[in-house]
Amino acid sequence: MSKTLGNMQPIFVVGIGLHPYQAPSPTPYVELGLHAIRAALNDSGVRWPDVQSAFVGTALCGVASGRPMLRHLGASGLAITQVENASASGSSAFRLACLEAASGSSDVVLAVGVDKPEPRPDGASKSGLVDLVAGAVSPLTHFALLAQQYMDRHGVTVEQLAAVAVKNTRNAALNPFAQRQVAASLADVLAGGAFSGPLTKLQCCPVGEGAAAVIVASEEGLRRLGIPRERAIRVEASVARSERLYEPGTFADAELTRETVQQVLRDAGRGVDELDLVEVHDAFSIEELVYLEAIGLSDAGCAGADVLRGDFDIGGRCAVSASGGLLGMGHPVGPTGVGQIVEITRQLRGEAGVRQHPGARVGLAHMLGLGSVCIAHVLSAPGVRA
Amino acid sequence: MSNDKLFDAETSPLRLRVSECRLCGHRFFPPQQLGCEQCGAHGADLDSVSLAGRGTVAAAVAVHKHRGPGPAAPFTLTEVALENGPLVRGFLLDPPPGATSELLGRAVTAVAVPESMQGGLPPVRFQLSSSVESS
Repeated sequence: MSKTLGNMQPIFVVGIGLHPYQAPSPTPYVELGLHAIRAALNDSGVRWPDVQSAFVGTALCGVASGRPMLRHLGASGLAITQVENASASGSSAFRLACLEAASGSSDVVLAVGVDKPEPRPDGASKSGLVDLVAGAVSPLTHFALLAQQYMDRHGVTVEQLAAVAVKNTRNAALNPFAQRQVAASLADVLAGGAFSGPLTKLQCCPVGEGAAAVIVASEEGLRRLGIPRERAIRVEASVARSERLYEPGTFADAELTRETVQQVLRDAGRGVDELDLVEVHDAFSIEELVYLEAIGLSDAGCAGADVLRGDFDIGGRCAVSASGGLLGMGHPVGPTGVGQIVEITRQLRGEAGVRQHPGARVGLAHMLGLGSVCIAHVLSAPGVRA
Repeated sequence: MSNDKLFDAETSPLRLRVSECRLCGHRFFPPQQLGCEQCGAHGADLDSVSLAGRGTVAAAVAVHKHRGPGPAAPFTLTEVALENGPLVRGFLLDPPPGATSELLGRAVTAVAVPESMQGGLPPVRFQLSSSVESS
């Protein structure tokens, strides 16, 4: 019988740190990563020698990127594992850190995501199979095709689609770690022509560089290091799945999201109406709409209208992409999934300042990775779960 | 193995090759014998069957920015629901002016492009079938 994170020992996020997400610069990834890790250590009060294991989420840095970065914290001899899972690399690094701590084989574990935008060929391009498109269906165009079908099916307008980018850049402009620092109006989002199908520039996430780090500790780790519980954020559930074959006419990424989120909410013992905060894989505006519906926060075809109405604003019924999301905060790939955990932790601690969603108690982090894979986590504020 | 036998060039109109699983009946494109995504059957359990290169447009988008493998933008990509077959993505040849969203449901036919006009792209494209409305 398999176990879920929820029926292993309790796991907590005890420290968070970021390097701002930004356009590519000459700064080496090592400096980006160290900046975020030192911030997370400082936030947690944990000393580096007490970290027993590290999972390094990176899709683009290349082979063996972990130790050339981590040795500068002191070559403590800790376990180092590099995790690559496309856009979900950071989410997978975080999941593995939680599972390792829950297993008891370590009690304080680092998950760090770091990347610089240096595109590399993906597995599918090396599969030996040819088709009729020769690699021309980029993620942008994959989601443009989806956007067109979704808009046609539900009568969704370009304004409703663009409203996602308006909301997320508004949040990003309040986030000093975000790559997009300017709140875009509807006119701004619709300006400049489409990149692919209905998707304009500001409806596509910026892929830059950055780093995100979290320190995870088990109950035993909290005790051993005397870490205060007041700022420790419980990780209630963790689920990873991959795409199956779905009914014709459905959207695979949405169906994968639906089953992954259903499972993570079931494991956490929570209903969708308990979610105060959601960070989704909004690499393209259309994704946020179809995932909101797949998660169950909006009825089919209604997410765009719900976004326009302000339901998913900070202060709305559920704050979605309060960080700015991938569209606003950016998508440096390896860091992104860890950065979602950083934002949810900040919010659940009540430390998000001008971005604070009032009364935030339960948060969901959702990421997709090319292929597709899907990773979801549920976290809760101190005292919400005994 | 490779799966470079994607179509029957000698037939007119052109026929596309898809795989059909002998165990579960799943049909997919591009054809291959590595394994069935539905049930895992592989090798000789995956038949190559030819289907008329006809279908309807499930989606079509004009691509103005493109990074990565494939041609330089602009180009038009379409997702076609083949008659009795799976969804197939391909380039749309000679897209008519106007919004690509108006192409949804239109009938298309697979056509082979002479080598001199392929420009490094796959030899088979889709083209609107004599403007016959099918939806």
